[in-house]
Formats: sequence, C-alpha cells, structure tokens
Amino acid sequence: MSITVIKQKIDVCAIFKKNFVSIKWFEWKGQQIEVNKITHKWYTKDGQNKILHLAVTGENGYYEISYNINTFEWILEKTEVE
Amino acid sequence: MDEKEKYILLIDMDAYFASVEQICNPSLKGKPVAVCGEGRTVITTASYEARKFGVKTGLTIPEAKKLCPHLIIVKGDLEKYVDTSLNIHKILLDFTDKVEVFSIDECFMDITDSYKLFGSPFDTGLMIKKRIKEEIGLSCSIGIGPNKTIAKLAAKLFKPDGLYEVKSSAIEGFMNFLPVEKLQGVGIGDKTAMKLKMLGINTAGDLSRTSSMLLRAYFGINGYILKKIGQGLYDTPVKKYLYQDAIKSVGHSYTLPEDTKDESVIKSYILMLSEKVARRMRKYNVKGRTIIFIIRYSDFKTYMKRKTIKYLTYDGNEIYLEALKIFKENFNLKNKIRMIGVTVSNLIIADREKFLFDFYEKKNKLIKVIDDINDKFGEFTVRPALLTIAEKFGIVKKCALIGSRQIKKHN
Repeated sequence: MSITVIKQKIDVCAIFKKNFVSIKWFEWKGQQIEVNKITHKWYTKDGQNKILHLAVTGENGYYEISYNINTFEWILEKTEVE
Repeated sequence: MDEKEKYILLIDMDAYFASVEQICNPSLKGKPVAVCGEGRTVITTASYEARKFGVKTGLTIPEAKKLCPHLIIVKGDLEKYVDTSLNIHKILLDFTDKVEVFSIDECFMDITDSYKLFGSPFDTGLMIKKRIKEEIGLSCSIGIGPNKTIAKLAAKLFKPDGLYEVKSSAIEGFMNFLPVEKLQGVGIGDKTAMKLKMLGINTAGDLSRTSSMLLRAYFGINGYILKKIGQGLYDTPVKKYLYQDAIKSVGHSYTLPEDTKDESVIKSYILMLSEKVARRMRKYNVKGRTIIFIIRYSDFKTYMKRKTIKYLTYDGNEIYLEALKIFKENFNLKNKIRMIGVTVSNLIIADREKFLFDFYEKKNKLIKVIDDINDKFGEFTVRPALLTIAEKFGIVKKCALIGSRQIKKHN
C-alpha cells in the first residue's frame, strides 16, 4: 500500500459549526465514501487563498482532503486505499 | 520550592514528522515509518519502531531499506508539520509567554514566574504533556532544569514520552558521569567531543574539572563556554515568543530529483533558489552583499564558495548571476551533481533608495508588481522562463530549509 496523489475536485457532504467542520461523506469515482474519523487538520496558504486540509479515515482507506476557504472548492489530494 | 531557582523546560516532540504522519494515517501506527523529502533525498525522521532497526536521520532510502526491508517511506509535508507546530505553540503559550522556538519540534519555556498557577514545575510539565496528547495526539519528552543546558540534556536522556527534572542541587551528580558525546546539541559538536576525548576528557565531570587555561589554549574563547557546559551552568535567557532574532543570512538548498551533469538544468535550479532567496529577503526587507554557493556531488563531497560583491541586492536575477559566476569559476561537471544551495549573508536593512537612473527605479517597480502577483496567486505564479527546465526535470513547490522565523505565528 502506498499513498497516491489524486488532486481531483470532489463533492462533499460537510457540517460547518463555529470553528469546526466535519465531513460525513464524499463522492469519488461515482461512489459515496463514508468518513469514519477526521484524524488531523492543518492549514496552508496558496497566495491569498487559505486552505484547510483534513486527514480522514473512511471506507477501505485513508484520504487527505483540502477545502479552499475562499473558493469553497473541495479537492481529494491523496489516498491510500486497501 | 526554592524562590530563587529558575525553572526552564525543553519540550521535545518525539519522532515529530513520523508521529504526525502516524496520527494522520492510523494504519501507520506501530509500524516502522520513515519520513523523507521529495524524490529521493535522505531520511529526515524515523518512527521509534524504525529506530529499533537502526534507521535514523541522514540515511539514504536504500541504506534504510537495507536495515529494515519492511520500512514504510512517507513523503514529508513541511506545511503540515509547521501548522501542527503552531498548534503546539498555542498550548505552550497558555503556560507562559516565554516560549522560545528552538526548532520545528523543540521549544524552550521559562515557567519560573508562572508555574505556581499550575502546581509545581513537574505538575506543569505533566499538564503540558497531557494537553499536547489530548489536543494534538502527539507525545513529547520534557526536561526541566535551572537552565537551557540542563533542560535539554534531561529531555534527551528520557525519550520517548519522558518527563525528568534536575534541580540545581543535583546538577553535579547529573553531569559527573555524562559522556561528552551526550553533550551534543548543547554546544558541543562531533569534532569538539572528539578533540576533548583526545585530551583525556571523557565526561562532563572531567570537563568541569579541567582548567580554564588549558581549555582556552585548545579551544580559544570557547574554552570558557565549554567549562560552563561541563559544569551544567551555561545559560542564556529564554526569549519571549514574539521576539525576533536579527537575520544573519537567508538561504535555500535543494537535492535534485536525480544526479545530473546537465548544465542547463543546474542553471535553472540555481535561478529557482536565487529567486526564492531574493523573495524571502524582500519579505524581511534586507539586502545582502555576500553570495554563498554550495554544491554536493553524487559522491556526497560537498563544497562551499563565497563571494562578496560591491553592491547590495535582493534581486533574484542578480543573485543568480553571481552564484552562476561562482559555479563556473570554481566547479566543473566532471561528476554528477546531487544538491545545490544558494545563501546570501552580510545583510543590512533595505532602505527606500532613490535611484539616479530610471532603469533601477523601473526594475524595483517590476519586482514589486511580481511580488504582489505571487503574494495573491501563489509562489512562482509569475516566474522566469528559464525555470521551465527545472520544472521539467522535476521540482517541488517547497525547498528544504525553513528558519524558525517561519515556524512562529506572527500577529
């Protein structure tokens, strides 16, 4: 098993609370993937864009998803699927 | 508790980069993991499971794989580690404002004035460990002592997940039989330790009993500092978190995706590094006169050459042309090149200069516009065309080095 870089836009079902975001599921390759747990989060900057990164475990694997706070864009960055 | 005693803590994150990867991806927990840079570079951190096999920082990936064939290699993500560090700093700043960032995974704290709010210094250490574990998911080792030297030694001796306090009254006993090699990281490097051993100085205790005259004769002015280190009394104050050290140099280095003799590729990478250095210099508002060029060949032989120029600059192209001159005048391409680095030192604060000639004024305006575009849309959005060669050869967004200035959160 190894990490694969994906970098694809995805649709995500997320819940936003005050300073908190939680992902319920996301769609990738025509499948809905349930998220079990957000294991870590961190922020980066790309120019003026602030990007929230989430490391999550879901069905069959590990995923890193990013959310551009300025453009509301979700991207599946990397995955390690069993 | 002694009112006059100082209480300095060193917070040292355990196998930091590897541990961050293990909390992100739970399937890595309990497994031998090594974090390395982009492409093929060297191991930057190994998990404790990997260390059992002898995998350590600085080994190349094939060397590490030989020691531990089932080693899992994870490509490092510096931005992830820096942001996680900032979250650790937030926790530490709840205990005192005297938090000095020593490196991406180490911070000194002076809790002399605040520990009573949390119980004893030892209780404070326990609380810090608990909060980092609960809020970030990482373990750390903490050393407590009356100065930075003792705090650092105490943290290093009991890893991972250690907490150890050495009081002033116990310093002599603590230091007496400590081998000089263990003093690495508190001011005594490999070569000094070897020199000390040749003089028959094998332990910190021996060092503390050696006459200052003898140490001065062999190590110059550093002889006094060495004696103080041996006595466990060498001390510098812990700086406040927002304090900024004066910048002495700005540099970047880069290990190429593969060793090469191709001059166009080398030139392109020198330009990329020069532009990165220049951009950081402009951010810090400093100009420099000394250009340092570093080169490592495929046999790991590393050379450094410097040149002081007549004018001050923070222009990437000017730095590039000088670095290229150093390269052409001093080095050849008989052997393949593995790593290159560009640094500028001899810095002064850049004043708002008025130029006699329009050309310079126009150039400065152009640099400012390019910086503004790159600030808004991301680094190297506008870049010299020559960089496309490096891009084709394989390039990553971030270079290897990061200074503690960039690891701190700024208001």
